[in-house]
Amino acid sequence: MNRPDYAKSAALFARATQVIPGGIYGHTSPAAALPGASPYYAARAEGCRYWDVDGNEFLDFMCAYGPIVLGYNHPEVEEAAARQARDGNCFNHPTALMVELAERLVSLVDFASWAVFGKNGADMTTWCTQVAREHTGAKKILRVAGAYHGSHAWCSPGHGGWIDEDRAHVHAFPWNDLDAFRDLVKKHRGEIAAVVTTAFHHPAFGDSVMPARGFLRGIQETCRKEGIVFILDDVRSGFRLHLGGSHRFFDFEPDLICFCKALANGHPISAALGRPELMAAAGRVFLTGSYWNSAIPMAAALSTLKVIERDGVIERIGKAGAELREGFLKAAAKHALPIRYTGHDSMPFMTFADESNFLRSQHFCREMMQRGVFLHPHHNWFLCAAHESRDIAQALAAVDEGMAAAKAGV
Amino acid sequence: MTRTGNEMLLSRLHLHAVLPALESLANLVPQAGAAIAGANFSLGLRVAHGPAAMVTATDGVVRVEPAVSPRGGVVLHFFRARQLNAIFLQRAALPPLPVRGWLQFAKLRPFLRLAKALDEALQPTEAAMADTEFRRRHLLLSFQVALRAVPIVAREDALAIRALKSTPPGLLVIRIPDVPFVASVVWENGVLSSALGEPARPATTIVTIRDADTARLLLAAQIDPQAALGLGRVRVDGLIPLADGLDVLLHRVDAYLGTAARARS
Repeated sequence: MNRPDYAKSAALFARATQVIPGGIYGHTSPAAALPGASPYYAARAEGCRYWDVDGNEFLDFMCAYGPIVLGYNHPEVEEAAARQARDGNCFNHPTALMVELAERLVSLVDFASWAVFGKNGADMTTWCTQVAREHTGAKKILRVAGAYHGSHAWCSPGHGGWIDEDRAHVHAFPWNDLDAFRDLVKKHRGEIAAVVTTAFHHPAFGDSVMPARGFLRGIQETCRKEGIVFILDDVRSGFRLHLGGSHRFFDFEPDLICFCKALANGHPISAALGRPELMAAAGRVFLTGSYWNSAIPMAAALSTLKVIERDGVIERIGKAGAELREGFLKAAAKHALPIRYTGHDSMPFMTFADESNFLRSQHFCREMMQRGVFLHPHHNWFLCAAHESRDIAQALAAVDEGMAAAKAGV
Repeated sequence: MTRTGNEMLLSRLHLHAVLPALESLANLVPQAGAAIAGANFSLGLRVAHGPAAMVTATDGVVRVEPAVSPRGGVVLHFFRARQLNAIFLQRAALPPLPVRGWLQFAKLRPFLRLAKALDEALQPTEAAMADTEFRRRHLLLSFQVALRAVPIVAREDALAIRALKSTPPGLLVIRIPDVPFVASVVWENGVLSSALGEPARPATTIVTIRDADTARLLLAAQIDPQAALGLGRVRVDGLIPLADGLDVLLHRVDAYLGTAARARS
């Protein structure tokens, strides 16, 4: 156990609080995780490990909260990005890479005939709701309660910065409750532009929940019947469950799909793809940003997709994830600490069955940090292709000790 | 309703959150205790179509009830909430209408001294805050006011109600070990309540504020709660979204009481 020292992180954070609201904001805010027990600032990373500004090394199971699917600093992707950087990144025009990437993605996603690009997941989820409204002429958006679709006013999980009017036409229904969804459709028949869901439910501060049999297919059928656009927010799970989109894994078919995180192994790019019949509406909804045509992330995305497909990355991550799951279940049984291990093996989450407030999970994750393994107590984890069996074994050795400590400590 | 312009809500905060701090004032502040030693009075304050309260002092013990008793004492009637708020904020306003106890006005002198002491404790000068013991009393009284205020904003303030819709239920305990201070807030079945002291059952969320100075800065909205967490000045264990919800409520309390008080100075 290395009992890491976070002095440099703490000093940087103290400086940050003078010039940055909250010091660090958003999902990487210390407040959302384990303040004082985890690093605040990273310095470098390689494979499935990173080093913080104090030089502490962590075996990482957050993968930058999802973008790192091949491993940090992947040589092939970074070479592709560096090659493009030598030619330039930001121009008066897009580069040929934009066309190439759109063609590549369209070839991968079975229902889609076109693609557009942004920088972040929320760029795409919000734009897709606009396309749906343009296509249908309707105003209402249905979403799953507790699901995360970005930080824009219509969907931000934060309490501040939005007014009731921002959400006047946004209605929520519980995950896996097809009846509640259909009731909303019935109540607002003719007024609904879109329903947006993730492929499986992975809320922060909650266990992940897989779709019940027929849930997503049921949404799809209702959408087709009622002329509602079905948007799949595949920002978090895209390219971890299936190369062609997570709908393929769960056997349903949306009308629009949003990708981001794993698309370019950490380079900033997001994408939305859609059915041919939505292309005209998509063309009428203004879409741009200062850096949305940047060439380097597009080169990185093409390289990432190539490696994912060529190296069977999704299967490899699934195998590593299964090893991790089995190890957790064994450790839990050994320590007589029942756990809830939820989600897909490539992006799992664990809580203790005897807790409802994450207290034991927080204790456990603190213990894991002290043993150099980065796990989050409130947010689903991510695996990447760089997680080898020896890394999983190292993590599980720490899990054994961490569970013993968590059992004794709460 | 504007974000801070709800005069009726502000009047309820004045009568049901600020005024009850008189009860512990006499114990915490020696001058306040001396002011009411041997005093006997009853003063009712009521707002037309709004809240009411009755302050009673008997043999050095002050009680504040959230209603005007049907008999005895002086009763002052305020035609508008704004009129009552102006008194609390020391702004010019039409005097209230005395509707009972004309002949007992002289008995209210101890109340006026008590009210002055409460005002000094809750809205202190910088010089007063230099004294450690004064800071401790200020903090205790401020927290008492805040604890009484959060259920009121939870019921009546639109932004607080909105925040609670996405706040998970549970019991939150707040501890400031070096004061010492312990209180709890319960958000269950659509009702928010608060109490001083250790709760009888395990907390869902435990908020530990490192020191009195941090607590004072948090209450006065002079330190970002996220920054305070990262700096280790506050620790939250357990269900964090419950603490996030309470943070919104405290912010709303400050939007009424803090903003109003700062505006007067």
